[in-house]
Amino acid sequence: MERPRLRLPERVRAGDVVPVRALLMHPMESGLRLGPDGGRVPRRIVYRIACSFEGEPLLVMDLEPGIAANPYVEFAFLARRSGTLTVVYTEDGGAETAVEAFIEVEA
Amino acid sequence: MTATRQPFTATRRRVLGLAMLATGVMAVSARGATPAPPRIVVLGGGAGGAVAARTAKRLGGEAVSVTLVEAAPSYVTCFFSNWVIAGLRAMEDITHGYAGLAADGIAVVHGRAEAIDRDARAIRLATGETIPYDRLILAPGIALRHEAVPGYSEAAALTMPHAWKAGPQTTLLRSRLEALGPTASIVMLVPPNPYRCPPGPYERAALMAHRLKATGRAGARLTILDAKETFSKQALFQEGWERHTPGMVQWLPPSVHGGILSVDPATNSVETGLDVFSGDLITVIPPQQAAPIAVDAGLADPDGWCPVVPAAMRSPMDSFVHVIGDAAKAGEMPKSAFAAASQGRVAAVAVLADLLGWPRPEPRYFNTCWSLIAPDDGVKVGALYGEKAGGIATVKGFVSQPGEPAAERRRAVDEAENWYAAITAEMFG
Amino acid sequence: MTGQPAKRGVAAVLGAALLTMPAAAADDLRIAYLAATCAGCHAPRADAPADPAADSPMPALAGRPADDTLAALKAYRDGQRPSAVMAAAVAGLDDATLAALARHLEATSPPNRPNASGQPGAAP
Ligand SMILES: Cc1cc2nc3c(=O)[nH]c(=O)nc-3n(C[C@H](O)[C@H](O)[C@H](O)COP(=O)(O)OP(=O)(O)OC[C@H]3O[C@@H](n4cnc5c(N)ncnc54)[C@H](O)[C@@H]3O)c2cc1C
Repeated sequence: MERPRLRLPERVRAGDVVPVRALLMHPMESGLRLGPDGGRVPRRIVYRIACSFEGEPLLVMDLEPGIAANPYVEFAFLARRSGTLTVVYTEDGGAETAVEAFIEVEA
Repeated sequence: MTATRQPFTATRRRVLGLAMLATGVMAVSARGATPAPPRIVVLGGGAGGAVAARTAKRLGGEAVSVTLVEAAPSYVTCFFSNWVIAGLRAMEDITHGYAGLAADGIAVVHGRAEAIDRDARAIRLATGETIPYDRLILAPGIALRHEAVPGYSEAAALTMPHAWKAGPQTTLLRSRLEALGPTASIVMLVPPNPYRCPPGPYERAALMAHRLKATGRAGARLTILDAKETFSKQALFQEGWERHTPGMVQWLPPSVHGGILSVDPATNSVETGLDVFSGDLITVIPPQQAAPIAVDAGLADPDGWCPVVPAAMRSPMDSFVHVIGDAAKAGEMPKSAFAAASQGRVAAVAVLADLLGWPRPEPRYFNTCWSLIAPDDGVKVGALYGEKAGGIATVKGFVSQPGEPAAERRRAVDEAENWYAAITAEMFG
Repeated sequence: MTGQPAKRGVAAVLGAALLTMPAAAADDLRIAYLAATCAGCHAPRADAPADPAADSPMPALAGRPADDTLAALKAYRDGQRPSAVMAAAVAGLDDATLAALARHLEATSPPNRPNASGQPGAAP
C-alpha cells in the first residue's frame, strides 16, 4: 500500500476542536468490475480505517466495496493533552499501513 | 460597400466565369465606393484563424482581400500533442507550414502583432508596419497565467513543463517522461475552468500511464491535483485509467488535497492544504486567459476572456472585430480546435455577408472532442450549439458511455485520426 | 494577392459568382457555409483509399452522388441510421436544405494537396 497522508495542526490549545484529514491512495477495487479478459477483477479494498490517540481508540470506520478509490476521511476530536495520533488502514488479505502525527496541546 | 442585389439561381455547375467577376468589381467602382476589395485581416493562424482565413478566401474569392498575421513560421498543433508525448506520433507529424494559404491567395504576414489600433482600424506589428482592416477576425489563443500558481513562472516551466502550448514544451515533457524510472512518481496540476481543451489533462494522464506501462514502468504513479471537483468525461476516464493502467493514475479534487498553495521547482514539490506532494516529474498546467493582444486592445472582460455576440462571434465592444477560438467566451462551447474552427467559419461567413451585403446564414456551431484512454480506446463528447437566450447553448449533444464494446472505442480512434487529417487540411490546404 | 481563380477551380469561381448575386445567393452562401461545416470532419485522409465507399468513419463527401448523400443525411436526421454525432450534425435541417447541400457536395472537387512540408498532415 502507499504511504497515507495525514494532516492536523501542529499545536492547539487544550479544549480546542482538532480537525484531522487523512488520505490513502488506494484503488478500492470492488470485486464487481470486469477486467479486459471479461473476468471479474478480484476485490481489494481497504475495509477498515482505525484512528487512535496515544493507544486509545478514537474512531473505527468499516468501509464497503462501494467506496470510491483513494479513501479520504475528515473528522475532529477534542484535544486535552499532547500526544500521537495514529491512523491504521487495513486492506483485504490483512495487510496494514499506518501513519502518525504528534500534536502539541498547550494548557 | 454593397454588392448589387439581383436574383440568382445559378448553381456552381453553371459557372459564371470571370466576366461576371469583372462586372461586379466595376459596378462597385462606378458607384464611387472603394475600388479595392474590402480587407479582412485575421490575427492568429491557429485552428480558428487559419480556418477563418481560408473560409473567407474560398467563399469570398476576389471580392475580398484576406490577410493572415501569424507570429510563428509554422504551427505545431496542441491537438494530438498528447499522442506525441506518449510516442504515438512524432513532432513532424503535428507541425504544419502556411504555404497552402499563400497559394490560396491569402496574404500571409509572419510577424508579431504588438497592438490593435481600434480607432484607426489597423494592426501594428512589432516591426512598426501597420496593416489596416475593414474587419478583423481575432484568433490569438490563450496566455498561460504562470504567476497564478505561486512559485511557478516561465523559468520554472523548464523544470516543471506545462506542454499546454505545443512546441519545445511538448518535446521537453516527452523527454522527461522517457527518462523516468520504473517506480517514478509524477504529479500533474490541472487548472480551474475555463481552460484550453477540458479533457486534455486526463487524456494526457492516460497516455503517460500507457507509455510508462508499455515500457516496463507499471510501478510508476501519476497523481492529478485538480482545481476542480469534477471534470469532462470523468466516468469514462476514471474507468479507463483503472482498466488500462490499474493503480497508476490517482485523481484528487480540492476537497481532498485541500487546494494548491504553491509549487517549488527547486525541490520538485507541490504544497497543498493537505500535504506536500513531491515527484520525479511535476507538470503544471496553469490557469489561462485570452492572449495579451486581445486583452490589451480592451476586448476582454475583467475575467480575462473576450465576450462575443453569438450570431456572428462579433465583439460587443467593437463591431469591426470578431473574436474566435480559445480567446472567446463562446457560452457552452469548450475551448477546442474543433470549436475554434467552427467559430472561424461562422465569423468568416458573417464578415463576408456584412462586407458584401449578403444575408448572413444562421450559425451552426459544432464541436466534438475525441480523447484517447489508450491507443486503441477512444471516447468522444460533442454537441450542436445554437443561439439561446443571448448565449451559445447546446442544442443536441452526445457522449461515449462507460462499458462500450471495444470495436466502438477503436472506431472512435479512427474518427479522431480522420478528424485530425480533416482539420489540418482545412487549416493548411 | 496571387490567387488564380482558373487554377483554384470551382470554389474560387463560386466566390466570384457570389459577388454579383445575392437574393437566392443568400441561399448559396448558406449552403456553401453548411458544406464548409462538413469539411470539419469529412476531408479525404491522405493515407485513405481514394474509393469513397471504402470503410471510413468519415468518408470524403466531395464528388459523391447527391442522391446517396441526401439519403444518408435524411436517415441520420430521422434516426434510421444510428449515429449520435451525425444526428446532432443534421438536427433541424429541412429536406430542401439537405438536398441543396447534397448537390453542392456532389459539385465540389476534393481538395487534395499535401501540406507545406510536402507531407500529409496526419501520416502515422
Ligand atoms: C494537450 C492538448 C490537447 C488538445 N487536444 C485537442 C483535441 O484533441 N481536439 C481539439 O479540438 N482541441 C484540442 N486542443 C485544444 C486546441 O489546441 C485549442 O483549442 C486550439 O488550438 C484553439 O485555437 P485558436 O485558434 O483559438 O488558438 P491557437 O491554436 O493557439 O492559435 C493562436 C495563434 O495566434 C498566434 N498569435 C497569438 N498572438 C499573436 C500576436 N500578437 N501576433 C501574431 N500572432 C499571434 C499564435 O502564434 C498562434 O499560432 C488541445 C490542446 C492541448 C493543450
